[in-house]
Amino acid sequence: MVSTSILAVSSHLSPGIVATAVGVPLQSGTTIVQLLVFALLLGGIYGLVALGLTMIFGVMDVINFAHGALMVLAMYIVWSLSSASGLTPLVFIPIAVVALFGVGILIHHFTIAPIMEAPQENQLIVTFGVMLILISSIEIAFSPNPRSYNIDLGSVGAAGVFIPEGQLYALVISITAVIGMWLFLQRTQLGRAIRGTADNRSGAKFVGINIKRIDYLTFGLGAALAGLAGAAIPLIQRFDPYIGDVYLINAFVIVVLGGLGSFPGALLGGMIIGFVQVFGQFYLPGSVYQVMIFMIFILVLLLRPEGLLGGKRT
Amino acid sequence: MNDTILETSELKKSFGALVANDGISLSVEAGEVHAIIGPNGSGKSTFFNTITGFYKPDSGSVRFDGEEITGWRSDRIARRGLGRTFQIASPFEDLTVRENLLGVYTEGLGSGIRISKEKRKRADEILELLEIPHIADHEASDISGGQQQLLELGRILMLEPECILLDEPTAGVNPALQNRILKHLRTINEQGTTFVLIEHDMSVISNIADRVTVFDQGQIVTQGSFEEVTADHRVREAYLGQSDDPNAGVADVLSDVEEQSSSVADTSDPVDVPTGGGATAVQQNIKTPKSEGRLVGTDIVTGYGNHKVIKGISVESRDGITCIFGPNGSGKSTLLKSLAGVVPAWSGTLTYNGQDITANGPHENVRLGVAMLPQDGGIFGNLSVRENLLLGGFTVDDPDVMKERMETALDAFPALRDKMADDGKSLSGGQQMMLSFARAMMTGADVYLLDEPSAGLAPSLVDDAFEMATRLVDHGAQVILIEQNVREALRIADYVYILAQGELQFEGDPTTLTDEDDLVELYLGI
Repeated sequence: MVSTSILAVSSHLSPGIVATAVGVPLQSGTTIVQLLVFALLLGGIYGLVALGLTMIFGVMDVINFAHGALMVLAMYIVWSLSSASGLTPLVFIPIAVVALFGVGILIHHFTIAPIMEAPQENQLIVTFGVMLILISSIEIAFSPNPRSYNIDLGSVGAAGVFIPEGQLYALVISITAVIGMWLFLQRTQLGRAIRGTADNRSGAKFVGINIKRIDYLTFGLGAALAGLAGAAIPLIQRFDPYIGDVYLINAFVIVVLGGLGSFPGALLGGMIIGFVQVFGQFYLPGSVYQVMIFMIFILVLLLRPEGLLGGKRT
Repeated sequence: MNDTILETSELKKSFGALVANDGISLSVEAGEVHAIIGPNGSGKSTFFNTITGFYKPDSGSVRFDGEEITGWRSDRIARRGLGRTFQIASPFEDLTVRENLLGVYTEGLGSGIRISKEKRKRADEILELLEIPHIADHEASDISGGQQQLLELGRILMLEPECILLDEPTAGVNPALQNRILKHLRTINEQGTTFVLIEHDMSVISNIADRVTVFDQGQIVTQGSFEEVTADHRVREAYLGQSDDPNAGVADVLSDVEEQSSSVADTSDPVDVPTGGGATAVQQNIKTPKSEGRLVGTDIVTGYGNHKVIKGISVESRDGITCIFGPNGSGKSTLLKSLAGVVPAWSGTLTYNGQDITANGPHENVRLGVAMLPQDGGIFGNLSVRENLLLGGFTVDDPDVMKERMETALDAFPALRDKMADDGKSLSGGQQMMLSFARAMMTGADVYLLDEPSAGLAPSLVDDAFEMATRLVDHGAQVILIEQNVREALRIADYVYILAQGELQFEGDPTTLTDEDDLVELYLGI
């Protein structure tokens, strides 16, 4: 059955999430729907990771190299709580998100806040250091061996179309989070304040926004988004302490593709890369999909250097 | 003394649509100290940059010492004998003062390998000349701003230039050190070095310059001795702003004010608000007890890094519009930012309705009722007009209050109603200014600090900017306004402060400023 084959493949390591399906040009309805679901959920996960990254950059002008490590931290939090308690990892995902929000606040407080006024490269190097510390600690605590969530998931089927349950959960989680985050940023005064600070940091002061507090909130939220995406990834593949690298690199591509500091750009870019990767892996031989991703990237940079939805920041 | 050492002819340089230098022909005689003055954005620094090869001129030519140097690389020009300093001294911070001098690339590639005895001797001479041998072995980052300016000069002297272009050599330097810098400049000048300097401080100009050239909007307005130039009405216009009638003095402007401000007074409450201007207003002012200042700054001292910009100034907001005037670099913006809490005061106190707010940040002051409009308006370009206004009410928790304020703001600026869904950046300059005013009204403040709202606007919109300020007053606010265009702003001013060199030169009723010569003297800080 194709559904199981994709699940099997996808439980491989990244980035070949649905690779090797080439040569099986089985294009049943199930395949197409599965590809769509997979593209949507991967796009959603990419979007969340990139949104956190671009928020932190937009508001604080900080490039957060620890972003991938934060994802990994969330995976191990969920995995250890679930292993220790014997409960399904799904219940621990919200806990990991809240924990990552706290971790983000702490990281900002102890590493970035004290040097916010220093030149940009200082913060970049500090986040790089935080990444090394986090990854090495996880490596020491949990060993570099690949793990997977202790959860036995079947498939959900209707009208002859079968979707692996893990993918379905990941899809629901990532799409809900994208929509929730979108509503928060667009509809609430606090969300607007974050967007306003990203848009015009000095202008924000003059309407009574405490930008230092917005920095804390943004870094916390960015870390929480990374955590949510991270905690959802083991539902579709195995993980190890280094899995964050691939996602971080993709997130950088997405952030630039969508427009540096552009929140809708991050979500759109995430979807584009998610779709290109999933459909490219299925229909194109080998790693050609990666060539595609970077071709799109270069094309966008040539035609619209500010990114798809990027505008001049005021 | 009569040889021309530096000569530009029809030098042009533009950046996109902005013509920064519009055909400048200037000749500098060997041995003179030639000052270039002019308001902000008149093209002075661009002129320096174009002469010294940092910019490539669009057309025109530069001759130095009998040789055409147009289009030369800047390092070649420097070695040819035409040196320059920058407004912001930028020494090699990790090197000592002496190393900074020795680091100058005097003799081509060879000087990069071995430092000659002559060069060491030259460095010692310069340290002596500038009286800074005691700091020779200090790292450049540890010395004061004024000493850095001296070092900047010293580095250029290493090249033994025949002519030096100085970009505001005394900006941000304390008076004692300023006098020393001037003394050194004079000594070096007597030894035969020609100076061209950009300077805002008129006392420096009158002290040192043989000849003065005035720039305005990329062109030369006039040239002559300091006295000739400051008496020229075109120069006053460049500094004090255009008036409708170029021959009109302040007295004429003030008689105009009478009609205009009385109409303002009609719309506001004439009993509570002694709106200024005109003879009748003066009589009123004498009888009316001094209005209660909501925002009061006392003995404010502040600056940036180790540059003291504001040297102990007391100002307060009053009913109506309080204007702060002063030439570029006099510290107007810094003072305003300090009142808003953006630039913390080094000493002195700030109170709002009697409450001490000296340590507050801008966001806390907005919450209390003090809102500032930054010079660029500070709007959120990627957010819609509605969102800009909603964020203006960031400190408002009650949705009813928010709704009410939104209506008030839109009533005051009805043109925004059609633009609610548009992005801030898609608005025209005038609309952006409106949005900035309306957004500030959303804060519900009763003291507004306006930093040159007319800056960067088309001349036709300048009046609109002032009119918007009066609308804030109509809503019961006290307004402090910084303005370059003194003549225009005097029409709406109820009280005036004049700053020069970070110190208060004048405060009082604008009607007492009837003699334009006095105004020019105060304004230019002579």
